[in-house]
Parts: sequence; C-alpha cells; structure tokens
Amino acid sequence: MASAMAAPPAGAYTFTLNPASPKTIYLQIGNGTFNGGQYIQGGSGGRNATINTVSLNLSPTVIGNGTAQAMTTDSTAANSFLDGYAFCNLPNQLYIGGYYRTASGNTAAAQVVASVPASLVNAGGATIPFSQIAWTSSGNGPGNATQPFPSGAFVAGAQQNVGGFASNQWAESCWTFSYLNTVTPGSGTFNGTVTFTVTTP
Amino acid sequence: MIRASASPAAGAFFLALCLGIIWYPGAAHGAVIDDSASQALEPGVAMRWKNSVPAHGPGGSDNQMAGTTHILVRLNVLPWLHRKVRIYLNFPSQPPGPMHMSWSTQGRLAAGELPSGNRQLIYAGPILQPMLEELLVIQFSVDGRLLDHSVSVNYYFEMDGN
Repeated sequence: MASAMAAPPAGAYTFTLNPASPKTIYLQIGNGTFNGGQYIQGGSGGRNATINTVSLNLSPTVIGNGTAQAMTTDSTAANSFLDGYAFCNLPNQLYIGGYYRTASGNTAAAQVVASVPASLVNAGGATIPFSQIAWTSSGNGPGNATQPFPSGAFVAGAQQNVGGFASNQWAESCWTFSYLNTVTPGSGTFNGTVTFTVTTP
Repeated sequence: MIRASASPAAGAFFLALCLGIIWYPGAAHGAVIDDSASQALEPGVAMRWKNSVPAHGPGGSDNQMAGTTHILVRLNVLPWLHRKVRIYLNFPSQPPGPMHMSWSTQGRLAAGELPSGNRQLIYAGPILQPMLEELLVIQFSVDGRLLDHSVSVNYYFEMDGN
C-alpha cells in the first residue's frame, strides 16, 4: 500500500524541476562594489580590492589611562547596497554586511571569520595587543535590533567568528570601533591588518 | 436466486474499490484521463528565486523558488463523448514536499492554482470532441531548501463523469 501511494497514477504528467539559481554570496566590509544598481534594482555583488583603515591619534596625556578612545574609519560606505538605505554613520562606523543565497536543504548560516594578528606593530617593533580594539554593533533604523554581526573585541592571534548570514538573507551591521587604552606602548604608528573570510556550509 | 445474483455484484464492487485505492490514492476522486499525447514545450522547469532579493535582517529568510513551463495538454476524452462531465486537475502530495502550482489557459479549461495534495475543477460541461486540447502556462513554486537537486513532480487530470 505504501508503494502504491508513492507511485503516480497511470496518465500522470511528470515534470522535472531544476534548481537554476546558483549559490551566491557577497561580503562587504567597509567599501564594496555592486554592479547594475542596488540589489532590489537587480544589481549584483562585485569585487572591490579596497582595504579600509580604522584608526585614531592618541594624545600622550591619555595613553594607558583606561578610558576607551573612539576610532574612525576612512570607509565611504554609509549606504546599504540592498536598497540604498543610509545604514551607517561616517566616519565613526564601518559597514559589514552582504547576503547568502542557496537552494538546498542545508540551512546552516554562512560564517564570517576574522584572522586576527597577535599585535599591532610600529616601525621599531613595539607592539599593542589586538585585543585592545573592540567594537559595538548597531545600525540606523531597523538596524538597531539584534545584530547579525554583534559587538565584540578582537581576540589576539585568533581565528575569530564575528557573525554570519542565514541562508537567503541579507544581513548587515555597523561597527563602531574603540581603542581600549589599557596598555602603555612606546610611541609611533602601530599598524595591523585583520582579514575577514566568509565560508558557506 | 436473489442471493446468488447479489453475491457477484458485491464482489465486483469490492474489487473495483480495491483498484481505486491502489490507483487513486490520497486526493484522487475519479478516473485518470489519458493525457499521453500532451507535449511539454520546454524540457524541464528552471526554478529560480521567486524574489530576486533575499529577506533583510535577523529572522528573515525568503526561500521560495518558482519556475514556469508551457504544456500543450491533449486529453483523450473519447470514453466520455457526448456526456456531461467534470474534469479536475489533481496535484498530489509528493516529494520533495509542499509545493504550489498555478496555471493560465486559453479559455477552454479554467485557470487556477492549488497547493500540492489538492485538486481543482477546470472543466464542467459536455464532451463534444474525442480530444480536448489546451495550452497551459504552469508556474510551480517550492521552498528552495527542498531543491538541492533536480526532482520529478507530477500532476494528472481526472474525470468525474456520468
């Protein structure tokens, strides 16, 4: 009886449904590129090689006093490529967002992982632990709800999960960075680069 | 004599009922119409995202995929010639899971839509010709999470006639 129910009756017309939309993913941190207009206009994600900088100039009088210092970004990405909405506030916030589309039974989220060096380094080799940099997550308008890329702080020398996209969802946040200022390094300009990678299930 | 003639009739009814269960399970109600002369104008149904833009923000997801195909339907209704009938389109429950089907026509059959596991009346009236022809433009939609590979789905036409 079970096999009889599974079989189509004689005379049934059979179609083949072929999933034709490819798996796509787009991650933007800071400046990004969208081709053909916003996503709601039919645009699609492009490549952008820009590496944005988040920085601050620290006055000698406050170094190491434990008061967090605001950082700013050189990113010019304030508007979401989803619909053009002014989601982030410049220069205090860094946009992080994108989408993940997949047609399959795997509904696990695509994960964004930050590769964090141990330290920021100056020309003389002095260091500041990357854990001195933290961020709060928000966004204008509806973006003030629970953030897909939540607040956090870098974990020095780690591969750090910073959020992700559920399948078939556009997710975005704005990060406001601060320097925690609890160490007393030498003088100079300290640099370090964090690389973000998105991985689909 | 009465009892002797009644028994074969009851047996035949029971046999017919059993065959009906085997061939027309679920929502099927009538005789399946031979539509073997029907012709698909495309080799398959390309399923694409119903909305090009995914949902926005936490908790939102839009997984619906849709695809359209054209079918030149040819129903062999010769057995019901010169009878008044009701013809249904039956879209049975089947893998990969819940689906939705909608269709437009040229007017001989009624346009409509229905979720899988249901049937809908598409014609009521007399059969005047042995073959009933119609061009159907059919759109299927399904949760894309169920479509990790190509799947075969079926529908059929069934007759409730006198």
